[in-house]
Amino acid sequence: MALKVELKPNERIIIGQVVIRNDEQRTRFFIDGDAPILREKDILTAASADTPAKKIYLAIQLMYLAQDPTLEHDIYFELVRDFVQAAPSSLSHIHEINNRILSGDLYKALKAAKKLIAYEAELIENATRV
Amino acid sequence: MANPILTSGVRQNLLTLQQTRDQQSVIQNRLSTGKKVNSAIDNPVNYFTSLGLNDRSNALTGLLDGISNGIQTITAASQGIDAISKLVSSLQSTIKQAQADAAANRPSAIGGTSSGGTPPATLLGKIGGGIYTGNKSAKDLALDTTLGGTEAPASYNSTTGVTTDASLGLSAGNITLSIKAGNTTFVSTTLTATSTVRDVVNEINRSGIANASVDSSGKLNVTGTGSGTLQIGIAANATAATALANSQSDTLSQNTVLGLPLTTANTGIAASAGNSTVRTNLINQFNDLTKQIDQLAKDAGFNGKNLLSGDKLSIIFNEKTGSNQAKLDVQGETITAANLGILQAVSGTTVTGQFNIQDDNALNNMSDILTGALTSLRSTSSTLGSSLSVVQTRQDFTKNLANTLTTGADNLVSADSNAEGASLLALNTRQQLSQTALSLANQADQGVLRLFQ
Repeated sequence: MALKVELKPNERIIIGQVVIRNDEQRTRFFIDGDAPILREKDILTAASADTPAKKIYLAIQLMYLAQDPTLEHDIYFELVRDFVQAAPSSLSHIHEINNRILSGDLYKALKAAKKLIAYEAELIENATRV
Repeated sequence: MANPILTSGVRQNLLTLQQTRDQQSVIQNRLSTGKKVNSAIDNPVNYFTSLGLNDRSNALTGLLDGISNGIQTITAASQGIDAISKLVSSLQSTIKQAQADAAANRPSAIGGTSSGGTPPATLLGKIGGGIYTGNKSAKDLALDTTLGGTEAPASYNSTTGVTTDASLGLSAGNITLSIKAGNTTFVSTTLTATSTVRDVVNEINRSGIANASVDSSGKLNVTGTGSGTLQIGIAANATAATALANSQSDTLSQNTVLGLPLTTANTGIAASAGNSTVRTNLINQFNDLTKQIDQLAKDAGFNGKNLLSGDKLSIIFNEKTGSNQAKLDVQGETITAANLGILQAVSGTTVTGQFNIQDDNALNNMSDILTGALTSLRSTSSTLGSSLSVVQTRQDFTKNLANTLTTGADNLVSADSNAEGASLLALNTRQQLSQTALSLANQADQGVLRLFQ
């Protein structure tokens, strides 16, 4: 079944190995086939990945865009190890991400990594609240 | 000293670094005063989660044994294929050796000498009889003989022989030369009454299926280039169609002018099969090699699974069941010499599953089969190779996964959400300029994300 995508004016989306940027009007289109698809709101760049959880997200995002779950295992696992060491209570989130990667579902792994980012923000916010 | 120029990436990192340090000092202050802001996560929950995750880690470690066995099985099969490919290459060179000794098996005919008559029935035969005493070598005289005209020159003398160029007496009209070897037929209609025996020799050589030459005693030698029966005939007639039909007839051809028997035209000269001792000696070598292929394939198993005997290997990657189970099935294939199409070599009559090593066509055929077998082995080998890399990656991943789970589960029980927040910030600081973060950023700059800056 085709995937329906709707873009706001000037919104960008990654499909496969290209970036598509919308013009001034809203656009709606359908995508058939099998390519990594990422909306602008889901995309992190090296510059915006400025917390440990976002770095994990970025690593998975790279795997997803390359459609290669074996990409840079070393980096990924070092990030994950450090994270679990710093925040053991995040293990169930990490576990879900790992499971998704293991079963080859990198998009779901990204979704799970999003939860990890939210959880990280919660932990930090709790700790810094005055 | 000039101010260092910071790239935007480094500047960004430094900025985050400063913010993080500010947040951290707040927390550290709190932690040192023991004033915890938030209630800690329920410890009993953590305890049971930790137990569950530890179980999962154990399950994964158990799977690793199976994965490791799978890797050994695929490696054994892959090594088996490599060894079998080498054997097939040896078979190829055995076939090449056999092919090199083809001459002994080729059909060949030598124009006979004629003993009767004056002038003799065939000039070439007569010259071959050795009574020529003129000033031309018997070979040149034979080559210069024209096809048409009156048979033998008037100056023929039984004592002095021929002193001028002779002719074979083929009646004028259409002269047809037919050659057939195996399934290939060659018909030449370019010869005329004024053509010479040299032209006949050239035509035969042009056919590609037979070679001809005239030897020093003036005899015509014809040899087939393959090991099939060779038919060669020549005939002249006013009608082209008749000339062609006659040239392929055992009774109507005019082969005698060339010194060849009439039956050469249709019955043909049979290949002298079985003459090549080199080929006979290669039979054992060839068949031994094919036996070794079967043996090697049988020995390519590991732990009771042999992918070269058609076994199926299932490598399980997670502890789930049913549709949630992630696994890789590697279907082996039964590799034997017979399955690769390789036949047994024999000399002479064959039955199913054998080929005649004395027969050039059979050798060519076997050479093609061996090339095909190598291609098929290569494709099997590459399939195994890609399965192997999939499994190895999984092994690597699962190992890391189990490690993360064990270390994480151990710390989970004593988790304190305030301390965690602080540790995360500390980790963030540490990561800003770490090698790992740098590699990650480099990676991101290479792919499609670079278009997103």
